Amino acid sequence: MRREDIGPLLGQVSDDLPEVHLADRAWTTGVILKRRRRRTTVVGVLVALGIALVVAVAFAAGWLPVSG
Amino acid sequence: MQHSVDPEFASFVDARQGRWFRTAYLVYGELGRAERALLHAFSRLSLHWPKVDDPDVFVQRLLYQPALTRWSRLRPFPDTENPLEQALADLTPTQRTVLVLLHLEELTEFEVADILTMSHTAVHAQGLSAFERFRSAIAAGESR
Repeated sequence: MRREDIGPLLGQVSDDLPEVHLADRAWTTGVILKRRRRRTTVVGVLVALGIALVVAVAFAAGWLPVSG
Repeated sequence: MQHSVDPEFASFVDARQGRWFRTAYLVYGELGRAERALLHAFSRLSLHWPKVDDPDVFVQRLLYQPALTRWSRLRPFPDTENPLEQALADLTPTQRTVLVLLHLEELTEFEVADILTMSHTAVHAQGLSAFERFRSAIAAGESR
């Protein structure tokens, strides 16, 4: 067997595969992924703001000791 | 990102999905895995469309790099009696990927090295060993 024979042999194995149509599915999956990422970011920012607010209130109310 | 598919993205996918589905099938050895890997790669591309510098390389990296993992226990071409598929299944994942990219996709060793993030020397060595192993497996199958 020569190197040039491998391509046609591999072609034989994959010749009769069914057709795939992925453009719409890939785009829709991308939209879902983007929406999920955005939601995760918004939730992360809200959680960080909530924690900052609780800490600020705790300092203002004197529940946490202020050093110095 | 618009909700209906971008026409340029659709034509990019339409022009390549058939060819890459075939190579992914040979690399993964199973239709379902090949289709999932290709869909994953195109979906990731859609997130960055049209800002990716080289969309072909972007998709091919996402398509073939996961095939190189040593941790997958899934055997390619399970229950096949086709001697060519058996010969491919006997190769390591890296050998199979390099063989398919060099000989079916007809990429150069430098292009394969770029896609698989391997050195050119490693691709050359893997290509040689894959060729020898594939040839012996085919010869052994013919002599049976």
